[in-house]
Amino acid sequence: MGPKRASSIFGRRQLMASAAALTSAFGPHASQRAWGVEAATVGVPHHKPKAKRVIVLFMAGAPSQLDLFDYKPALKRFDGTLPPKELLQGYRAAFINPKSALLASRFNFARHGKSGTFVSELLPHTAAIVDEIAIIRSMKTEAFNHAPAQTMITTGSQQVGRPSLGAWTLFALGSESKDLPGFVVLQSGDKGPSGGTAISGSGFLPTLHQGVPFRGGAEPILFLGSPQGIDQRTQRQTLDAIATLNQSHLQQVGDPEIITRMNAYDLAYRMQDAAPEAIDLKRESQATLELYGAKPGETSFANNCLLARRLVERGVRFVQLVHEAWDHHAGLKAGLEKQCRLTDKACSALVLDLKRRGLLEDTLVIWGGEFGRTPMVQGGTDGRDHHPNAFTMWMAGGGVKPGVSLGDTDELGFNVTRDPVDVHDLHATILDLLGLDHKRLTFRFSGRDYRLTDVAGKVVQQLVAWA
Amino acid sequence: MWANRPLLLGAALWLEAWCNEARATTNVDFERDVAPIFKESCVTCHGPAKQRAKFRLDTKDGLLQVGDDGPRVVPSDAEASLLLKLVATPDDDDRMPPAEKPRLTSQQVQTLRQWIAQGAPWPKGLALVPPDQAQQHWAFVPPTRVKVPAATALGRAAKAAMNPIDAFVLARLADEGLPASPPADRRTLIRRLWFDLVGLPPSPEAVHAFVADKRPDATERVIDSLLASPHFGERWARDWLDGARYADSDGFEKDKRRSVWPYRDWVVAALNADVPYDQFVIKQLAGDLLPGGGVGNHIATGFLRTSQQNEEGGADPEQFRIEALLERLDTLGKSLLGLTVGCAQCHNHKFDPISQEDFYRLLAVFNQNDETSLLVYSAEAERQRQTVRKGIERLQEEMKASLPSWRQHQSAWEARVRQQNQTNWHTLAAPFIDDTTGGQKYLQQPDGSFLAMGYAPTHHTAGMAVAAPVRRVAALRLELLTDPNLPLSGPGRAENGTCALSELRLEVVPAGGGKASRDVPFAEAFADHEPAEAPLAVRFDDKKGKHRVTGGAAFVIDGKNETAWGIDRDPGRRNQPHALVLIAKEPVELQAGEQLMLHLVQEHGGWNSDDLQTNNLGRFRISVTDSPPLRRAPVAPHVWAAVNIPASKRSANDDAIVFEAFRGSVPAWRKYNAAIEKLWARHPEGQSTLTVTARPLQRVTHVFERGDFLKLGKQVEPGGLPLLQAGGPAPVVKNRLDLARWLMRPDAPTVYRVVVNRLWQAYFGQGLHSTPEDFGTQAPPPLHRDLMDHLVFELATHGFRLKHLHRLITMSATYQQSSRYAPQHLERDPTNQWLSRGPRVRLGAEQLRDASLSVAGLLNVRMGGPPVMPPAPAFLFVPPSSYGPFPWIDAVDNARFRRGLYVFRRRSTPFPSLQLFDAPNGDVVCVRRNRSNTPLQALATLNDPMFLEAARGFALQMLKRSDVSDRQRIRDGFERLMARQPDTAELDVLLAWLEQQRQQIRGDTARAEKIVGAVDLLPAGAPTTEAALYTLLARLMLNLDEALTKE
Repeated sequence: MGPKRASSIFGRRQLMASAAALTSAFGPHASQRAWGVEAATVGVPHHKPKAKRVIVLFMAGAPSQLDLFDYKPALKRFDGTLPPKELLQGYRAAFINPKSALLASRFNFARHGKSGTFVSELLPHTAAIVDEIAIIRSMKTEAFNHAPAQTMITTGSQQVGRPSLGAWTLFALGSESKDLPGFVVLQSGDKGPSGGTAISGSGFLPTLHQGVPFRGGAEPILFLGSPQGIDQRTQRQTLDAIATLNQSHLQQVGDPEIITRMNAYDLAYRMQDAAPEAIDLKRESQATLELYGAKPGETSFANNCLLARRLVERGVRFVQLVHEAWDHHAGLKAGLEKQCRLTDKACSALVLDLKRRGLLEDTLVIWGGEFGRTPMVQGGTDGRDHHPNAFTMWMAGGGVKPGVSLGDTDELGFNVTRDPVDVHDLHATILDLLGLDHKRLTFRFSGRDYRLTDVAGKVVQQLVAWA
Repeated sequence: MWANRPLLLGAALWLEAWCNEARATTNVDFERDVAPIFKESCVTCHGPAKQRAKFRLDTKDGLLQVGDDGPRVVPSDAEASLLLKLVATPDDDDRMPPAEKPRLTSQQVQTLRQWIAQGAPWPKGLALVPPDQAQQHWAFVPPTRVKVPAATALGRAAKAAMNPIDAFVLARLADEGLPASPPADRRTLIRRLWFDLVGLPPSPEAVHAFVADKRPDATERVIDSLLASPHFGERWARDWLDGARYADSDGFEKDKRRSVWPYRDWVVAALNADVPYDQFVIKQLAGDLLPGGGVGNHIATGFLRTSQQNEEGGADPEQFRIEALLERLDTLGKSLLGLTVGCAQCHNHKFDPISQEDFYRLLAVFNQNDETSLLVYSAEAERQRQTVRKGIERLQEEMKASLPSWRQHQSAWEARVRQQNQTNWHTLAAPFIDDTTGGQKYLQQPDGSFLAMGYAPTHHTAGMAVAAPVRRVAALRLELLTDPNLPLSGPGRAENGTCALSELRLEVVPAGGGKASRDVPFAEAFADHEPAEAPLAVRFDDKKGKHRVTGGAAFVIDGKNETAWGIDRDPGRRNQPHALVLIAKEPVELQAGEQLMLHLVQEHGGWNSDDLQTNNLGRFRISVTDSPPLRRAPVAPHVWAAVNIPASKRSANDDAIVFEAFRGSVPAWRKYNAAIEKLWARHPEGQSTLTVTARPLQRVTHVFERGDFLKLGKQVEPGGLPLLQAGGPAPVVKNRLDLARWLMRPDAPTVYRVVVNRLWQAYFGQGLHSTPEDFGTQAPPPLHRDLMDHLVFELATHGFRLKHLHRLITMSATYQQSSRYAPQHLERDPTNQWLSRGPRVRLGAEQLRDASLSVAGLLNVRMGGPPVMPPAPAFLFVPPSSYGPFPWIDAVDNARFRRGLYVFRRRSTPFPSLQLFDAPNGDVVCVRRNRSNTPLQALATLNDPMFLEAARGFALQMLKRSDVSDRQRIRDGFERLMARQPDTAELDVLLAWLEQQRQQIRGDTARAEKIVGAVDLLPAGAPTTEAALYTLLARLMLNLDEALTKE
């Protein structure tokens, strides 16, 4: 897997020696500017981490919890009737008049696993791993429009400008990869995310912590491939000459930033090798491809799940899959069937594959959207509107207690009735699993110490497996 | 120099030891040394807000109080002082500050020890967090004139101290025991000056001329000519626009195109004209309110409109109007005031004296706007527009002269109009049914009309069920009304303010719902404006292959969704109200318990609702009547309103409206009318730009409890921020103009420091104060406050003209120092905070693009106009990278080589090579760009097709002369890029590399052709392999650190 590199004109050892000297002169921050060097100096968590890396399966657009996880037989009884008035006091909906009839799920639920957890027939594969995952039925959020809610669940604030969870993680723990970015974003689905670049942005943290989009195909990272006619030999010779001249210029001007740049070019070269290798699904066995339902050459959620595993294997700290396809205001039944077909198998495959490779125990997998959907119908009989009061997420691996079902909602699935988990709690818990105290992970900006969890958040202990 | 490292390190260690020693023997000063420690680490929990363990150390009394656990501080006896024990104890559980906070450094502990040993002196009456902080915190006190330090006996320095900047910097360097650096050589200096002042690299000719210019004022001449260059405005607009979070798209998921570039051009022009900074800001905050008005001043208010706008389906327009308002205050605070005012949205500011009420009083000032768009015209279009307007005026005078009795005719016509339109109309006003609006919000207005806002679907049928105000329905009227918040005032939601109504249906339905409905069949339709039938404009193509048309009113009742009543007409009269009347075949009687069901079919939009393809109604009112009106065209609402004003009370505008409606009724004027119509047809199209405009009706503003706009607290009146009063009288702030003038008064405490700091930061990579967005009490103390305040004084005494500061800074020896690191720099001034050398920073994203294209001879320096879309990877603009498909149309020819300033800035999919180099995408205010140094940047400059094109162009420049050697070409190319000649070693490396590549590419024409790519860039006469070879060389050189850096 190592890059095929010709001998470099500049001595790498010399470069590292210079970098080390600078580190001693400036403290660790000077060497944190490029990923490659970073691994050596950062990554000291606050307490013993259970998870070392994270894969987020962001079901953007917000899947209907009432048709997937939050089984509400009472909704059948009340199907077509209006919700009780007192539930709707102060309630705001995006599209519908909240005084709309209740809509029972059109799908069957059954108990699964040793835990006997209810899962919808739409998710047979997830149902099969239900004892591996922890389901949170009591999620709630503040926003009920996509853009602010996506920004909220990824950055802890509805207002744009804060660093995303991935950026915080990378900022705190650094990257373990010497030749790949530490925070990678993989996209699939019908649309791009409503929240735009903010959902994987670095906010006020240094930009090197922002998510780097990877794509399938020949060029996983933008501008990764050398231009046509420039072969590896020429590229190597070019970079060697650049390094020689930069080194000589460094002697003249003495700016340590030049060393950072030389490291960046070195890493860029290694990335040219490493990234295509990392995303090359053809290297996977047929059995593995089938497990995920992945097909090399496609852009699909299944491929992205498999890519995520390959990336975390290679030391990538945080992989964020974004599958924006769940905004079922209409065509709820067909839409859910389609999206579950596209995602269910791959989600469970990812968990199983990580497990059999011994990676699940320290890789945290998180599934969920930005809010839930209304128990009330939108349109005729086949749609649901946005609903921030209650929705479902699941987590697996990385120190999460398997087989847990946390929280409950009322019999209509409208409000959380037990163990509410808001977005800050979720973030606090994720950071805790990563060995980070959400109150201590701060960054000073605009005269105050910012946290991912703002001034709130508590670790949800019921989700954390005791070591 | 690296060879010397061990020695150097040794020297440094010695130096540090010496410095510690020196510090230990000098007096600890409370304000300078101790207060910052208390403020940073202690007073949050032991101050006015909280007194943990009943202890506060924000005042001397608190400090000396004896607690249950004994005296906290015993002056002169450090070891007996509990305070010192607590900060110094190795026990994590006992130590202060507590474990979750950073502990004090040993240096800080030592400072406290020494201060107590000195007797814990505390200046009388000084409180660290005084109740009236505004009077105390340095930045809240207006800058006063600072004495320029006398030139000290520092040799070269004394001479350089001619410039006051240098006097301050040298004094500070002397304090730090650091020497200044020698001046940069001329080549380095001219390249630095060009990048800093115009954002471009100097041409070799400019370099040569400067090097050869032996006149004493050679540098000054270069500076003055660059300051006078129109590219100066382009360079500095970029920084300003970062702070104004300028972008060419809405942001959030739809992230539609928007037109606000005239504001960008306004900024460029204003900076070039050196508009005094106070005026510059006042115009951007309140240009619409300035006496004398002027389109230019109004364009400037684009500053308040460049926030993001969420029009996702279902979004509440009022919520996002408020969000944008809150964001504007945040921008105002961080980019202009240096205050984090946004912190007071939910509660009183925790640290600075800004109460939540202050915040909402400020918000109240900005809450009185309509979010408008304005048509602006190019100089040429404006001439044409005047020709049309004057021509029409002249014709009107002529026609009036031709019929001296025209006034009587008009009065008679008016009487007829009034008499013929006596119908008793009853407004239908019930909420539209949520499910039918496609996510658009129909907001009911006090006059019974609806304003369509939020997401704009391109195909929908809005339905309203409404109790009938009449027993029988004989006719229905639809009035299309203008509204300042619609595109170009509407009355429609299309980009140009028009709309099209496909069908209008009315039913009578049982009140409880049910199927037994009856249509109200309409026999005839009349409108004040009946356009001829025409194919629907191409921008509304919905890719369904149906032939759709717009035309007269009858299309509304023809039962066909493909035909619509359109209202578009010549650009000069496009945005006007209209009326449509539908007359029932037979009046329809309503039975008890029946109500009306209205359907507005709006099917004339395009395929992509995320691309301004809506053709929806914008503001409209619907009414019915039980008595049939005359079967003739109704008068438009604005004409009706004007006709009903007694002639003596009409404004000039009313008069014009009435005359315009009347003139067509005079048969004798047929010739004139035809001529006028011809002139209107020649009215030029304008360019729309986003602005704000003060609204006539004031909104009531409340405090939002906990920042939630649904939880209205106390009502507040507009006001300024008391903390900025700085002891002066409370301002009378009724509107934005009052506020802007007050904020920009000459003795304002923060605004001028903020701008001085931002300018300085742009030159040196860091400001005189390290947090440009925050001058509040939580910010670290400024490193060079005296210099900053002196520069404010310079600004104030030079008419607030920024070019004076630019000149002063670039003329300073401080700025002109060499940026090379001397041995002492790494150890003693690694971040150059003491300004012991010149700035050496990586070029900004736009400068890098411009520089590469410039050395390649490709840069297109055309100024201004709509943003351009240089070629970018297509996948970025389709899902799943983009939320929806976005029309990024690759620019061709040299339009793709326009300067980075003009590259279309799409927020959700930013132009990659700018984003990678830290150009902000405009989501929020940015007054300090990151300056990252990453592998992805290396990949961009190595592989991005744009940089490859630049390499080819650069190769062509090197190959231009066929009569010179490789050696000479490399020398020339190197100089073109770096403004200096390569040294022998560098030349040797490049020559050897070139020869190596030549051997490898020899005879491989196929490979060479790939490298050279597009034929139009092939160097004339050069063999392909040589062109390829030089392209490779150019690519190498463009990637050298020096090429990417301002030195």
